[in-house]
Amino acid sequence: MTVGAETVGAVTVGAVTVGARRPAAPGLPDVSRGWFPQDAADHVRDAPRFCPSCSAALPLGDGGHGIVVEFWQGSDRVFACYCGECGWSGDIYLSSRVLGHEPDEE
Amino acid sequence: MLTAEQNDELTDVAAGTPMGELLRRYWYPVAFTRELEEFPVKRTELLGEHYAVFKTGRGNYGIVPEACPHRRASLAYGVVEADGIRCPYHGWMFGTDGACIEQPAENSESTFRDRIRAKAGHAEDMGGLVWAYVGPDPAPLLPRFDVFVMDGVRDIGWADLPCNFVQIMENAVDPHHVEFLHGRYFQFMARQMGFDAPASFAKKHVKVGFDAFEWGIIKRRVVEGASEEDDDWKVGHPLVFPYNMRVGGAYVEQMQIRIPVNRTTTRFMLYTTHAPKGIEFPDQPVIPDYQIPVFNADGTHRTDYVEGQDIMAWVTQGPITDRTVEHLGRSDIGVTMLRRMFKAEMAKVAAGQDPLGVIRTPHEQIDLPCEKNKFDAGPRFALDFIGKASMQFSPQADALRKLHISAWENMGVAAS
Repeated sequence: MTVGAETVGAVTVGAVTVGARRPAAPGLPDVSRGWFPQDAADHVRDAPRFCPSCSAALPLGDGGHGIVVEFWQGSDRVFACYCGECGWSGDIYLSSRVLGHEPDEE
Repeated sequence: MLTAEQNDELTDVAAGTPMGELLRRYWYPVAFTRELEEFPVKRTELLGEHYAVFKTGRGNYGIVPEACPHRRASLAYGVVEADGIRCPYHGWMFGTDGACIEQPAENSESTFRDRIRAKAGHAEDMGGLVWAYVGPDPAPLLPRFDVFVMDGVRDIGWADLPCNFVQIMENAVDPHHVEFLHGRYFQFMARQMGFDAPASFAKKHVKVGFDAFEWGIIKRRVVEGASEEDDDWKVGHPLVFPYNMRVGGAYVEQMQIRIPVNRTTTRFMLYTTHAPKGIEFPDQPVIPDYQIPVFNADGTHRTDYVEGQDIMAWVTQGPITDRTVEHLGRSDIGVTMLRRMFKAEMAKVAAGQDPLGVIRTPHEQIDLPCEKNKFDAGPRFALDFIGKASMQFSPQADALRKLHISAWENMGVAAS
């Protein structure tokens, strides 16, 4: 596991280091854009950029035709992805902890 | 959370944008039928473009861009004639197909008019509404969803809301909001203002689920005290892609319509058909339409009824909510599913395919799944729905209550 200079609980996947959360930005929220500008910046930095299935670019900003919606689940960040090139759809988790056994469902 | 680019794409309804092109593959209500009976032409805005919608003397409906192809005067002030609409400025006449039929000031031998055509859409009447399609030909068929064509007593409430339609549609795949916005908050407002809040909306959600299906997304819930065998889970009710939600219960059948008038204005319509068993429905020569309140006199939102609470939540998110700073949780998976669906259907349109919910097969009625025993509340839900939701503002609210009570009496059903 590699911890980047600005990240906490980061995980290395192949050659790519992805961060779970950066420390809160110093100072007050950027009121010109609304609340939580650090989370927005984290999203731009960490959202998957390529389709795991066909490797086409996902974000519009990279010329892609997909969509990446981020939601949070406990300490995980989850990126719900859809690739407009091949139609692949799935969730990519950024986890700082991996459990060997999951609790039984009810 | 989305990037700014994705949020722009998701919310832009303009022609030539991916979302705008997707939305131009569907039919939308643009007038009440009675409006064109009272006056045969109306100015309307749809997807950020202005149109004149009209009913000819022969009874055919048409829709053309508002600006006359001649000198851009408004055809919404046109003279409606037997076979079309005539510009009030110089008398150019257009048929319902957009063909220029007459140019009175030009030489009668001129072929100029053959080179002119208004970019006409298609318009039809169904269920007391005039529907329009303004996308590329060939136009699909107008889908005859059950609520619009079934027997019953009809009622249409509406309001124009200052926000983008997507944040309203995201509410349609957000079951958890019901127990708080229409439960806890309703009870809070009831205590503050001195009225009774309905108990049926406040039940805790134990489980929610979503299934993509041929018309959109079916939303399911299990509320406390109920099980997966109950209608709320077994049947559920659907978001009807891309701009409707089918709701109801206790034989109150409703389509909530969210029409993208422009990027930051949505016409919200509550089209309801009351269809209880065991009663003969009275004739309705004209279907009542009525505006529902959005704001109080002091400019605050009116939140003492169900849809007023929804409207408050939708509008206070902003004209176009900033999804770059939202924080979705696991309970918002319906929202993520809808965004992916929008994107997938944009891709279909870009590839030249029909998107979800476009129908080209002739049909009589499209039945949509919708629970009957809503929130496990039994027939009582009908009275809650009429009394505590937007139907309380209907000019026929009392008659609707009596309709359901008479039906229960005829069927020997207890109210609770």
